[in-house]
Amino acid sequence: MKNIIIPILFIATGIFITGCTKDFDPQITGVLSPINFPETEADFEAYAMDCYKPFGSKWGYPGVEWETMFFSPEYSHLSMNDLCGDQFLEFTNWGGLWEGFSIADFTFLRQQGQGSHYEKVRFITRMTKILEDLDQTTVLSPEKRDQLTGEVRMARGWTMFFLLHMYGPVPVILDPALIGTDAEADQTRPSEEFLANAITADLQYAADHLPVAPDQYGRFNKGLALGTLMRHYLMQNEWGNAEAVGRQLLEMGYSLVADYASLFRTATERNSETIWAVSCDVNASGDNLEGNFNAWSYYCYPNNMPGIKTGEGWGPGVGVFTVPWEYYDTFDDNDARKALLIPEWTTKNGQLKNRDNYPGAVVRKYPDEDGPQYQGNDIVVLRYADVLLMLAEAINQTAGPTVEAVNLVNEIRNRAGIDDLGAADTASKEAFNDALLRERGWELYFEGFRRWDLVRFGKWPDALIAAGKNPGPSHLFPVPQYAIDVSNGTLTQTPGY
Amino acid sequence: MEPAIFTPKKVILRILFAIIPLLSLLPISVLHAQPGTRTISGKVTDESNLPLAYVNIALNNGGLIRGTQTEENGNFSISASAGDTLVFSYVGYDTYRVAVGTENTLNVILHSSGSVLDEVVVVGYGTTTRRDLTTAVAKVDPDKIPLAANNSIPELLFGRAAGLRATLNSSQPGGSIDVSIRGKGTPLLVVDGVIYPNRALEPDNGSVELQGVNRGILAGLNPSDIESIEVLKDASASIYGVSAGNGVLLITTKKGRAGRINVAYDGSRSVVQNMPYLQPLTAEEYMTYFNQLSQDKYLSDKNMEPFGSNPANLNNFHPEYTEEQIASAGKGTDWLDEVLRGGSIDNHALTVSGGTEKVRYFFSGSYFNQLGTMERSSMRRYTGRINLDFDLTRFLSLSTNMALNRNKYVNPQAGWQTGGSGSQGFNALQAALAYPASVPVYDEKGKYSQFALTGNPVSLLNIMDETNAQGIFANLALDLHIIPKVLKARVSYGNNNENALRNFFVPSDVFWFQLYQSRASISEDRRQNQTMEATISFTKKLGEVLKIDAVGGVGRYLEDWSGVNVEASNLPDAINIDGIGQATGARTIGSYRGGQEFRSLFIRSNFDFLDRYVLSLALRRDGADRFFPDNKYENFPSASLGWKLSNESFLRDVKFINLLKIRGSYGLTGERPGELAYGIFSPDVVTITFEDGTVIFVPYILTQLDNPDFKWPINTTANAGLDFEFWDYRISGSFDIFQEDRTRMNIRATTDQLSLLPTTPINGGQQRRTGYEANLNLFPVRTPGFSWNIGVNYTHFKNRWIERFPNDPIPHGGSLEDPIGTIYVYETNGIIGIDQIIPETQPAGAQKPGSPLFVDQNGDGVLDDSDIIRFSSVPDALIGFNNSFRYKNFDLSFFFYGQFGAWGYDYTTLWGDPLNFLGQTQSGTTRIKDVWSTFNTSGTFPGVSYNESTVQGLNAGIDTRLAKRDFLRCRNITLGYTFTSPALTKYVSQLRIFVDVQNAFIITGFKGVDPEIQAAAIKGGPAPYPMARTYSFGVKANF
Repeated sequence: MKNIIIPILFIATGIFITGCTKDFDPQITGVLSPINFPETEADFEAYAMDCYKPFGSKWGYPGVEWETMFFSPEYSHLSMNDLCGDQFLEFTNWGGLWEGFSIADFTFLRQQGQGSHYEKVRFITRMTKILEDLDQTTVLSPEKRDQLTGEVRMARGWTMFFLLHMYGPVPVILDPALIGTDAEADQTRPSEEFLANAITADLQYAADHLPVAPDQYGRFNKGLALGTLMRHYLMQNEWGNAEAVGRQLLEMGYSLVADYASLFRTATERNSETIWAVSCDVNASGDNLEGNFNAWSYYCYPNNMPGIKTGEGWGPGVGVFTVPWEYYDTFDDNDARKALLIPEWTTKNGQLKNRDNYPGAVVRKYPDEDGPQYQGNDIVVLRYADVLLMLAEAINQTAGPTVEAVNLVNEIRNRAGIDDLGAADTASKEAFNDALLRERGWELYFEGFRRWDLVRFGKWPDALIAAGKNPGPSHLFPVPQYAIDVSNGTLTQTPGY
Repeated sequence: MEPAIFTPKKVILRILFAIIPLLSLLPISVLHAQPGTRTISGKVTDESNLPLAYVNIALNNGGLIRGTQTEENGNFSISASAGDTLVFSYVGYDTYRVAVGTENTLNVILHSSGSVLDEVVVVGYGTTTRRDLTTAVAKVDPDKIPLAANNSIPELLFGRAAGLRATLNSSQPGGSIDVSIRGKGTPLLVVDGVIYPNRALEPDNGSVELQGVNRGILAGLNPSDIESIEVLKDASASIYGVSAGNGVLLITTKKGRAGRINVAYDGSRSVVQNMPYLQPLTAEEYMTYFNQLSQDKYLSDKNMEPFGSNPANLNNFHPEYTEEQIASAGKGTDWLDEVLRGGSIDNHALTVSGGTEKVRYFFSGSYFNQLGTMERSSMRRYTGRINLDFDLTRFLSLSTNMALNRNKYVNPQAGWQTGGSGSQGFNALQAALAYPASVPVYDEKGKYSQFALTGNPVSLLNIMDETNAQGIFANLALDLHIIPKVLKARVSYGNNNENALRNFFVPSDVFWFQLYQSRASISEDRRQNQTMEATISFTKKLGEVLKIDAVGGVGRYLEDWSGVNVEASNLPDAINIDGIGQATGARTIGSYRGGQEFRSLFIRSNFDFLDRYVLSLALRRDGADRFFPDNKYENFPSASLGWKLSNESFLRDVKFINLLKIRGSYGLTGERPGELAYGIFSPDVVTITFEDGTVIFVPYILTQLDNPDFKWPINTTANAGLDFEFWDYRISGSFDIFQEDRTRMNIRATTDQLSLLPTTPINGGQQRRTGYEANLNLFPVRTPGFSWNIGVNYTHFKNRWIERFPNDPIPHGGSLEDPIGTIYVYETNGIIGIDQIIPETQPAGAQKPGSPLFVDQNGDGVLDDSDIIRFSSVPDALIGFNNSFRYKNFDLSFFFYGQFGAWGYDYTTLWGDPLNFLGQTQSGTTRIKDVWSTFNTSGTFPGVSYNESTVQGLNAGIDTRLAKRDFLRCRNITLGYTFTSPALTKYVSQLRIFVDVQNAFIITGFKGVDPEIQAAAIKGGPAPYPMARTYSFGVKANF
């Protein structure tokens, strides 16, 4: 019997001894450890690349909950800034965010939980942390350091710009020493000046350090930083600063393309005019692991309208983005920009649709000419025409309708195939200002600026009421009630809500 | 009866016959043949004529007691004199006394007593009896449950034990059933001592949102192999401290018994029929309601009367369908009929068991084949098992269990899409509800018709979606009987290894997700659980005063898992998943691997003083690799005490009390930490791409920091209970009351709002679970010819926060004391009619006729948090109720289970949403008929002028979809007949035939598919797998 007891005791003792802490480290698989990451230049690039996450076009990404990108189909720059404007009809068929934005009453956003854009205050902190780590490492070449820090500050500054014009001043952590401290729970809103200065500093840094033409098309560039900074100055009514930045942009070699429609087609998406666009993958379907996608024709076409390639849209009988006939009729008949709005078409059942039986014109700014499922047209975010109009606006604000300013506008009108501005439109600063807003509408509709423009030109909410909408309490959005509930009283609701 | 003839030869022979088995079975007994005695022989059987072996037979002739036992075949012989009394006793059967008369042959039938006092109860690392148990342990005996239509162990658990809740998630073949003890999470599963995974192994089908699979745990085990299932509900689970926070389910498989070969066959054939399902509109109804509701929408959108102030003007309104179209539409296509069918189940199991003194064996093989009630869906399972026990020497014994299973599923196209895609992602069953009946199956060209963005329901059935799963389970234990029956050492090794492969292919001619494109996905997952343990156990009775029973041991528990998947598009249909490399479209690949380890030391000792006071003390020390070294280990002590009042002198003489025991337990358990205490840079789930998607970066982001203080969660459980048996087992039962606190819970908590990490693992929060449960077993009638048995169990529990997680505010309108699972809603009371004055309190977005009328609870003229009311999603009561009758050879039983007091959202109502319906992407169910409209002003569902997603200013949900989920389900009605005719029993020692109706009927007010199944809130609407009724006919035979 002994010869059996001994091995059993041996095994038992063996298990017993290992039952302590020897060789008892966790197996951590499929992820990297802070112990050895990031170390190399490539590591730091992969680390810093997270700064692009909000600036893509995919369905979204998981944060605390599901969050959308600024250029995602839902809660996008187009729904947040254009659908709510005077150029698009109310769309009530789907309810939810589409109805909420389209009627220009943002009260519904108060009920958004942890999936709102407000969650991007965490993104600011993350960028602050990445900047600190980029600052402390020695493995980066000077060029790489400039590019990466430029990109991260571009992302941080631009995100703060978006948030400022959604919620008003939001709490941010820009000092890495505050990370991991109680400051993370303090949601006290800073002054607008504080946030505006922070945006200026980030965008100016980005403009100073980003390459003019990055190796990879789609990465942030100097022109984008300057253009965004210029818009920021305009929004802050710092006209002189805006003008100075605009003049810098004039010298960078950008120029208007001859064919307005070509700006939005896949084949001609890279051109002298587009300063930055979301570079889309023709095969992508919005999945996280794919490239960016463009789904806009689905949101523009009604479901029974035959598309060019995609077949049809998703809108139930009417597209989500539909231009009211009243606005459609403001375009000059010769205006090349009007041609991207479809006034008459035949349904798949052979029924003719036009202003007699359809509420508005169909937007076909991004024609669905390619793609197995969605489209590859890059989503235009900043182009030179916008810069020219912004420059004209800045000049007008400081010096009135100078010849230079008027010519900037006429350059754009002529490209669209219409005449120079009439004398009445350039008679005074105010008249020219009105003409500028009108021109911005015609030139930049469905590009995601209208709410900002209406606010800046002092036309919110009057322009909406004139267009038959009944706007909500503010042009700004309410922060989610959830965020207030967890803030221990530090976060105040946006005025008006 | 043949008269007794005494010849010396016969007497001697009979005495010899009597003595030989006695000597072999009871070597210690010394028997003296008395003068004047004769030999009485016979057979002892149970009610179903099955021989009973080892029945104790005592002879009482006034002081002198002798005894014997029956043989394997139930035969016995004993020498006795006239006037002696023979007492036949056997665990679980009524004791039978008979005076010796003149007969020499005596056949005895023992009736099962219903008493469970001496039934063996398996507890962690040992066994005890119901009589001695000091903790809350429930036992489920699969033998008493109709198995015919059931493919998994959880299916046996509906309503079968107090404190045990089984909730059906899907009625598909192999459908998922949540098993929970006292409402907690999935318990630890231990099969023959080996830790078994407590979630299903289901590979996915890539990024595809078509996901019909919703299957459950323990899919590889054949229910007819199971001897018993024990449910450790309270501190009894503490011996499994490491992961027993949710309680423990101990599953024990059958073993061979020494004796002749026993061949048993269990077989059944079942016919499965769908219960009533969601009812689609006919073609005529579809067109009629479409015209009516779109007219309302037109008026509402234009703010025309009665929805607004503008005069009604329908000149520009063009109805979609003409009168003639409607008149000639008829019923149209019955889409549900195209995708649903009658199902069937074939279930066959063969068992061979037996053994000698030295070797005992149990072999089983089973075949289960189910054709689901949805077209194409099916499940086929083969299992095999070999359980062997060897007594190698007097001191050494070896036991091995081995089981294999192979499950093949054709996955159903039911349920709902996994993403937010809406009608383009519908599966076949959703599509069948979405396609208007006015659309034919095939168009004029003979091709599948197509409606809106959804694939044709019939064509979607051509999508290949199969899962093949295999499992190997092996367990080896070596016992060293150092001092036989006193001191035993055991080492054991158990391994459960599973893998599953899923093949998915959308052929190029199936329109799905708005595309005609072939799409393929192959995905394989595997996992392994290893259990290594060494224990020493000690049992000793010290006189009549103290019985000690102790066990101590060490264990290591290793888990590992891995998987790979590939996904590709654009490949020839004939190649499909057999050559995914031929794909010309986009490809996605993925893989994962991981593992974790736990280590434990444990000791438990039971002390039974004077057969009255039973004390049990246990301590488990557990370690997990996931924590920092200082926090790897935690102690989980427990204690329990039982007082057998009925053995006290003051109660011993109270005849009607067989057992009265009070008991209490207190102990700590843990929960397996899901989170890691170490810092991580994770690959971001979102790639960053440039150059039109051709340049790809995978950013690595800091997702958690080192957290050296992160440690085990602690659950403390206190339980008090009462066990009783009265009047010779006519009344028996138990009652338990408990309180459990979950402290320093392990969760990923939301961080502070400005933290760069969205969530982080923490120890936090505290929950308190309280409740009580009871079970009662009654024999209103118990005679040899007829018996009636009633079993009832009742469970009540609730769980609340003591301290919430950080950044998890109390819901508006609620308080900290609310039970977890409370639903907060604004109450609505009917629909606002035409010309009805809109109260001030109606929120924006609900101001037109057709909107629900919000109730201002406190009448203060403001709709705010104080108007939010609360409903519980957790049932107040769970019950199980069984009635069984035995009349001669017939047995009949009715089994019910149900829940009361639970509410939930019925999202199948989405098929009745007028806005979904008017979106022209989907038809609706007959709920559309209840929608309020100017044509149906008595409608009870909100009309087209109202959209719940745009109602503003609310801090809680709305009650319009809320429904009571009470039900009482008749789970089984079973009628059996046992053959006892000698002509048959010559060949078949036992033969029983039965018919069973499973899910015979349900009593409920719930109008969705089934009150037990929670369908998801999903764009379009969910289409849960239909509930089915099963009629089975089966045979159970022993040869």
